[in-house]
Formats: sequence, structure tokens, C-alpha cells
Amino acid sequence: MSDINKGDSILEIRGLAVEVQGKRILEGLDLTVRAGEVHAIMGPNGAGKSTLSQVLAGRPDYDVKAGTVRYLGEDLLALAAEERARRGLFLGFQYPVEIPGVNNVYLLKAALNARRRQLGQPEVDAFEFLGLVRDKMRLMQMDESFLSRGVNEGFSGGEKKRNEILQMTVLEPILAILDETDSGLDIDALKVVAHGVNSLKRDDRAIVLVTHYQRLLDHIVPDHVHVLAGGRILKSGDASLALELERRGYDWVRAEAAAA
Amino acid sequence: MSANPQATSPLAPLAAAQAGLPGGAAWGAWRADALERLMAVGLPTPRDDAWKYTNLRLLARRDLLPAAPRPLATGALDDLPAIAGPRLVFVDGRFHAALSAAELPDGCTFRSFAARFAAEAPAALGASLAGDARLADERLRTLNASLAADGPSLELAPGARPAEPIHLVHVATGGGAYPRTRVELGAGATLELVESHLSAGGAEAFVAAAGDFRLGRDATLTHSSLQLAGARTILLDDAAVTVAAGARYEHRLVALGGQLTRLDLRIALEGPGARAVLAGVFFPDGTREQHLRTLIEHHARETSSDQRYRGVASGRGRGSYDGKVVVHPGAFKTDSRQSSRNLLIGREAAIESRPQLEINADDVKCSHGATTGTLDEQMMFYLLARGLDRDTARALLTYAFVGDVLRRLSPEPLRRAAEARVLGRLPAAELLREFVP
Amino acid sequence: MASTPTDLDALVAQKYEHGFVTDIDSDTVPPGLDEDVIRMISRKKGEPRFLLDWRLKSYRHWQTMREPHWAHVKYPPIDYQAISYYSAPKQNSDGPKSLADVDPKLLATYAKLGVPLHERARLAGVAVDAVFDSVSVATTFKSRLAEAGVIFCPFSDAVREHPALLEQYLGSVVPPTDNFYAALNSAVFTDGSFVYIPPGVRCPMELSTYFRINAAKTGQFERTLIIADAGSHVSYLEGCTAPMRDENQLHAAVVELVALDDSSIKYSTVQNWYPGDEHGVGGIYNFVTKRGECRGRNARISWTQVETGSAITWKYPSCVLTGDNSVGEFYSVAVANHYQQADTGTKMIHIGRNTRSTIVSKGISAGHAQNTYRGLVKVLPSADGARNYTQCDSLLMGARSGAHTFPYVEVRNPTATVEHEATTSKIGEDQLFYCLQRGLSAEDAVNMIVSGFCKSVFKELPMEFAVEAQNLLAVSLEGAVG
Repeated sequence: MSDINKGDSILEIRGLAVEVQGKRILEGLDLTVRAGEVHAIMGPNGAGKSTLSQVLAGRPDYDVKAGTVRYLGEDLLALAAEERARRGLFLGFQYPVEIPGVNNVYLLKAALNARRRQLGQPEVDAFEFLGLVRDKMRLMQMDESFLSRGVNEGFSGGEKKRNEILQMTVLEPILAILDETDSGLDIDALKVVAHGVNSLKRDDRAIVLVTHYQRLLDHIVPDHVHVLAGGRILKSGDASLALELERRGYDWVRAEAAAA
Repeated sequence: MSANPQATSPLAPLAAAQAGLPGGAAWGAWRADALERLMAVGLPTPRDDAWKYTNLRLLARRDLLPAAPRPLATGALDDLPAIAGPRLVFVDGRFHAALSAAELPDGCTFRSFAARFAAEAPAALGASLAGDARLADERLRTLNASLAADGPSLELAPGARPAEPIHLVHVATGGGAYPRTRVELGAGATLELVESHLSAGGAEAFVAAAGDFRLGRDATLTHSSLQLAGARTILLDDAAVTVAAGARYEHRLVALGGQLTRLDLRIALEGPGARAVLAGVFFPDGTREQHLRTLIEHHARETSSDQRYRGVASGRGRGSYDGKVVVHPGAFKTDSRQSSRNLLIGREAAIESRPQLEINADDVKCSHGATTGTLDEQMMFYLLARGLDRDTARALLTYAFVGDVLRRLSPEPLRRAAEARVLGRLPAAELLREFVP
Repeated sequence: MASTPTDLDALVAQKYEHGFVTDIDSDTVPPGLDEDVIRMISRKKGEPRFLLDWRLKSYRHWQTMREPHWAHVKYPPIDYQAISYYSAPKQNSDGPKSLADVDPKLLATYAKLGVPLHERARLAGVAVDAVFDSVSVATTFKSRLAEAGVIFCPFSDAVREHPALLEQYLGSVVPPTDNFYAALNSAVFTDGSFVYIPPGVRCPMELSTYFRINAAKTGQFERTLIIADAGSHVSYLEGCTAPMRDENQLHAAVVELVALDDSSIKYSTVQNWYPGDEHGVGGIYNFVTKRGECRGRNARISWTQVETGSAITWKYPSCVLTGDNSVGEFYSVAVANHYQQADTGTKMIHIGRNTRSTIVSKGISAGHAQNTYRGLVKVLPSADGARNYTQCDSLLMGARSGAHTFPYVEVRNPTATVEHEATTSKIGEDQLFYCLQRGLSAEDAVNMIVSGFCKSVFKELPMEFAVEAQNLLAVSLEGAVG
């Protein structure tokens, strides 16, 4: 699918500072993500986790005050939201918006074709596309009726999250950022979602999980775990750090960082 | 009321035009009286609350004289949706038998108003015909009454249920047109009615239409107004509807044309359980003005009304929704909803919205919601984050904004025609077509 | 209400608490209005020439105007020549220098109204200007406020002591030509409060004015002007009551607020003018023009009103949002019982960029009362990014009461977002039944449900007055159940 090899740099964030409505949320954030890796970004409420996800996806009203973000060697911040998406950056939204009147499956087809045009590939025809989507829907244990409904219209919280992962598996991104994908899921739905994410793990792709709880990480094992608090990464470690956070909370990380 | 309406009134030359209208001396006197009462107060101005958002100053320089009959160019009706069933065509307010396919179903009687004027006395046709010129609301009805020469009068026998819709087509070729419509449904009758307004020939035209719609007990009328008038046509359409116990009146408005259009819909829910379900879109683009005024009066117990309107203004287009719901004393268990959502595209576009509630009974449930603004930023971002380009995303959301109302249109050919026309106004129409279920 | 026990029918209408008359010698001019009366008022106040000219100009304009009748209210014609335009308690030539000089009868009156004028009394954190008929009779905490640079004084004093400020700001938000009652007020206003908060000052205490109509056959025409200079903050509250009389008395006030850069003004009203009796006899006609202008960037004006009194209320406290990023708010509870008629609401005029406004209106109609919300949200072409949110709910508590909602939304800028929501319903039978099942009396249940309905407005009131407002609400609705 691509000429990206395991270990190649996919995302490099240096000194990122972001304001939202005049309020500084991120301050000097650094992060490097390489192909083949799964990262988990954890942190207390209000730490800036969602802000980071939204800024990487190009949300217009978030103000980048300082820092650089390189994505596959390109200046990510110079790209519009849709250009980032077409280059293979996927954001699984924490709160996927409902868009009544816009058909779910046609949005997905339009999104896939936008991505394929970028890759110089021919657009899929409706027949081919439906076959592909049906396969992925089986994987996500989704009902056929999702095809004909409006985007997230009347979906339950769990259905919205499944729909996000369905989109991800169809779009096959290079970098997937999943913002609190586990929140609002019961344990069965969590397993389905985790299965969908795991099916996407590859050497030429990276996954960033933004999450509150260790729970999701029982099902998707990260290579790197980062603690985001006060607008920057305070500590990084391997999967065991997540377990430690689950046990000890976040305060000790803050204390450690303050002492350093 | 202007101080000296006669001084600049475009009404002055109209008296002479009454001479050629059908009916005997009694009608002549009746029409002269109506016009006189109208001239005493003048045409409505924005100072009249009911006309606050519709400025009729254009009328000052418009020829309001009824148009002399002229032949219709071939292809003039090509724009019409191909609706199966009987079609009655009126050109400049006069019945055009050759273009009409008036094979009417059993239980349905059609008479032209020209014939009724000739055969019946003014009193027999009903007092409401002329409206009350003192009320700004009803002044255009008075204007119509003083010059109406013809129009459809339809009657459905009790229990009649024609299988196919009846399509009333009004074509304006230039000058003034004053079509008069009456539709009466007997108890338990059901009818689907489509009224289309077109222009032909591109000349300046003025149409002041008026209609009376009476629904007997448990009757159902689905009434769609398709406004496709040309860019030099002013179309003012006034419909008065009475709904008896258990009856259901549905109205759909699709306003896509005209230089200035306005629909006044006055609905009286007279018997227990009467219902009104209204929905519509208006789409003023360029320099078009499209206005809508609804008045729903709940007179009886357990009546309900539901209104859902979507306006999209672009360019220098202007639109308005002015909707009033009145719950009269004793109309307990009334249930009323109003939703007016408007989208502005472009710096010079404007839409006014005035959803009003006047409630004089305590055991009721009434609500309204109105929004005016731009496309939802979160929806926009979601689509961009999925890789759609901006124009497509914008067009898609614009279409989706009116989509839920368009989907309710019937019959099918009307819905498809309306959808196609709305899509035609948007960029990336080809792609969007896929999104239409 | 079907589910309400019938013994509630026995509930009698609560007596209006503040309906007493203070027996005091007054200097009252005979009824009637002409230029001489205006000259007399101006002379009594020792006004500078510009103000007399301003009054006369207003009067001449008023004579060309017609009484407005678009509001959803009905009343017999008002005879403007039958009203006395000046009435003041007799006092020493120059008015009281301190509280010690104030007629004890007046002090007693205010104590009885729950507004003790002694600085150490209940409202220790609130400065009060007490206006009795046409004049201010006392103002507390003047010196403490002066230390902070805050001017809080009767309008008449401001005329003499701060003519420059007055000349600059008077009529700059509500011009005399604005409407019929504003023109009348501009011609004949007698007193009211004047507030100036200097740059950067956070007013150290709540300011309030207590308006009392006492004399018969008079009208009260007061004028309030509040100026918040750059970076300053002030919270102001007004209260009003009047004796019970069979005649209708006219109250036609004008309130102007000016908020400069980064300043904020919070203006709260607890309006409890005599509402008339349960048959609709008597009561105050409250025809008031209130408007604030956010003249500077980031300025904020917030109106909160609890309207329980008056036979007729006609008022629309409004915000002109001229400065970029400025904010306007309107929170209102209007209760109308028996034969009261309220036509109230607001106008939010968005002119500056990124201006925001919020409207929360709660109307309660009981008995034969008519309650109307009337509001305008207007976004001008210059107001990029403007936002408005309006929530407007009505509660009906009587088969013969009326609740009306007339919003006007006029948007001339495509980047604006305006949302309006309204609901009207009977008090929830499920809620009522739930409370009754838990053992509450119907009256307590209604009070509880109504307070819940009004909560989002009450929480905007200064704490000292929130409780009072709640009690007032309960009193106003007594007799409404059943």
C-alpha cells in the first residue's frame, strides 16, 4: 500500500502551544510517533487530550501559538483539515456529530474516493464499495440499516463509536488518532471496537489512542504510554505505565515533574 | 395605512378593467364596491404589521391591469413535474381547456369560476370571497376579488378518494392575473392537490391569487404549492383554509422562483381533532424575495398544528417566515409546534423570522424554535476531517438542511422535481445526487 | 386544574403587602401639563439652562406623538391632564443633609417596606437611594462610595454637581424622541438615581434605588443614568411599590446605561408596584423605557427583572451592542395574576463584531391575566460572528389566562448564529401529582414547581434579593391555584 517502513517517522510534534478561545491549553508539547507503533495518551480531565486530537485534525478555531508538527515529513499545520484527511490522517471523534439528511454510506464513499484520488487510485464503483463496506460492517458487528441512515443520526453513543471505527477500517489511514473511543461503550462493544482497531495494526501505520482509562489498553496493547497534563507530556513509558497510572492516579506524575 | 393612497396608487386604473369581467350587473356593483373599499385604505405597506417584511413598493411601477389573452408559446409547460392525473391549466387567471386534461375522477366536480360568476349571485358565492379590506391581512384577497375573472372550483363528494392527484397549473404571461380558487371536500373525502405557478415569455407579470379550501369532517387534503414563477413575476398567493372536526390539512410549499413571492396561509381549525401539518422550503437567491406568512387559529379542543420551514438565502436574496399560532379560549389540549430554521449564504442575504404564539387557554402544549445562521461548524469540520472538499461539504450540508422537508413532498414526481431544482442551485450537484436516497 | 384538590378553591387572594399610605404633608402641584409646569419643575430643581431647554424640546416633540397601542394590553384612555407631575414630601428648604434630617415618617415607611435606610441595618452591604414620589429623600453610604470614587446620588444632585457628565450622557442611549413615554419622561422627569463608576473601579457594594409612589393622582417619572467607565464594574438593583388605590397611576421611567471598554453593569429589578385588586380595579401603569449601550469593547450589560406588580407592564430592557465582543443579557420572570397585563421583553441590537446576547424569559399567567413576551434580536451587517440564544417559556395557570410570545429575529449577517426556543404549557400535572403523592400541599407543590421554572433567572439576582424575589413570587401567585 505504501513505501512506509516500520520505524519511519510518521508524526513529530515539537514545542506545540495551542489556545482555545483565548485560553492556553497546550504548552510545549513534544511527541514522536513511528510506523508500526501504538501510542496511548492518557491524562486527567482537562489536560488537553482532546485539544491535541482536534488540532492534529486541523480544527479551524484552535489557535496554534508555537511549535511545529511534521507528518510524513510535511508541515502538517500548513494543511487544511481535508488535506490532512486525504493524506491518511484519521481522527475518530470523541463526540461524532449528527448530520441529519446526509446519508452515512455515501459520506463514507465520498471520503474513500477523496483518499483514493489523493493516492492516484481510481475511484471505487458503487458495487465494489458496497462489498467492501459490508465486509467491514460484519467485522464491526453492525446492522445493514446503518447504511441507509443519516450520518450518526439517532445513533446511540456506542453505535457512533462503532461507526467511527467502521470509517477508519474502510479508509485505512496511515495515522489513526482515536479520541476517547472507549468512552460510553459497554464491555461487548469495547471488544468489538478493540478488534476493529487491532485488525488495522500494521508495520506501515501508527495508531494513537487518547484515553482516560486503562480499560481499552487491556484489549489494544500500546507500545508507548504518555501522560499528558498541564498541556504537555509529563512522562512516557511502556504499557506498564498505564497499569501504574490505573493504580496510583496522576498526582504522583505531576509531583515528579514538578520536582524535576 | 398611507395618508393619501390614491395619490400614487397603482390601483386607480383598475376600475376600468372591471367592465370586461364575467357576471351580470350585480357582480359589477359588487366588484366596484370591493375595489372602492380597497382604494380607501390602499395597498399594504411595511407599516402594516402583517406586511412588515414584504415591501410592495415594486407594485407602484407594475402594470396591474388584467392581461389580454395571448397564445402560449410551445414548451411553456415543460418545466412542470410530470404528475399523473387530471391537470387544469389557467393562463393569466383564465381556464385554458386545450392545455388541460380534465378527465376528472368520480365524485369530483369541476366548474370554472367564470361559469359560476355568470350563473350565481355574489351573495350565493359567499361573503368571504372579498375579504375585509380594513385588515391588512386580507387586502390582497380584496384585490383578487375585485378583478378575478376565472379560476378552478372543485368539489369532492363525501367519501370520495380520487386515486390520482389533481394538478392546478397557473401560467403568467405578463400584466395582471387574478385567479380565484375554491376547493371543497365533503366529509371523509381525501384529495391530493398540487398548485404550480409558472411564467411564460419573460414579461413583467403580477399575480394576486386567492383560494378558499374547506375540509369537511374527517376529510384529508394534501396541498402542495410549487412556486416556479419567472424572475419578473410578482406572485402573491392568499389561501384561507377551514378544517372541520377530525379533518387533516397538509400543506407543502416549495418556493424556488419569482421576483417577489409571498404565500399567506390562514388556517382555521374549527372542529375538535382538526389538524394542520405544514412544511416548506424557500430559497431566495440572486435578488429574489420570498415571503411566507401563516396564521393558524385553534378554535376547538384537541386540535393540533405542526409547522416546519426551512429558508436558504444567498446572493442578495431575502426571505421571511412570519408565523402566528392563536389558541382561542376553550381550545384545550391544543398541541402546536413551529420550527423555522434559516441559512444565510453571502453577506447581503437576509431572512427574518417571527414565530408567534398567542395563547388564551391554559391546558395546551405549544412550542416554537427558530434559528438563523450559517452552516454548523462541527458538521463542517467532521466532513472535512473525512477528506471532503469545502465546496462539496458546504453544498452537502446546505442540501441536508432542506432535505428533511423535501423528502416529505408528494407525489413522487413533485418531490423529484423539487430535489432536482434545489440540487441544480448547488455546486457539485452530480456528487450530491448520490446522497439523495 | 383537574388534579388539584377542590379545597384549594377556598384559597383567598393574598393582600398586597405594601399597599399602605404614608400620611405626610406633600408639596403637590395641581394636575395638568403645560410648559409652565415644566419650567416650574426645572426651577424647583435649580437646573441649568441646557436641561430646561432639553425638557421643553422633549415636551414639544411629545405633543406631536401618539400613544402607542401595538402592545397586547388594553386600558381606557389616559388623561394626561389629570395627573399631577410633581409631588414631594415637605421638608427643609435644601433637602436632608444626612439621615438624621430625614422625616421619621419617611424612615418608618422604608423600614416597613423592608428597606431600612440605616446603614447598619439588614442591607448593610447595599447602598440605597430612596425615591418618594417625585424626589429622592435619602441616599445611604454616599461617603463610603465617594472614597472609591463612585458617584451615587439623586438625579437632582447630579444635575447640580456633575452637569458635564450629565450633558454628555443624558439622552445618549434613549433620546427624548425614542417613544411616546420616553418623550413624556424627558419633559417632566423629577428625580431618580445617577451612578458613575470611574475607570478601573469595582464598585465596593451593591447600589440600589427604592421607588415609592405615595401621593394620589400623581405619576412618577424618574430617570436613572448609570455610566460604567472603562474597566469598571457595578451591580445595581431597583425595587418599587405603591399604595392600594382604586385609581390607576402612571409610572413612566427612563433608564439609560452606558458601559465603556471592558466594563460591566448588572441591573436588577424587583418590580412590585400595586397590581390592582383581584377584580382588576386600580394598580400602576408601568410604562418604562430601559436601554443600555455597550459602547466599548468587551463591555457587558446584564438585565435581570422579576416583574410581579403593576396593573399593566410595558417594558423592554434592551442592549445596544456597539462595542466589539460586548455582551448583552436579559433574564426575566414576569408573573401576571388576576387581571394584570404584562407586555415585556427585550431588544438585542448586535452592531459590533463577536457580540453575544442571551435572553431567558419566564412568563407565568394566572387568573384572567395576559402575559406577553415581545423580543427583537437584530444582527446588523457589521456584526460578524454575532451570537444570540433565546429561551422563552410560559406557564399557564388559569383557563382564562393568556400567554403570548412575539419574537422578531432579523439577521443581516451570514456569520451570525441566532437561536430562539419557546414553550408554553400548563403547569405539569405529572409534576404536581408527584409532589402531592409525596405529601406536599397543592400550594407548596405549585410554588416549588414555579420556583424551579424560574430558577435560571433567580440565580442571576444578587444574593440579597434572590430570596425576596422568591417570596414575592409565592405571594403573587396565591389564589392562583384552583
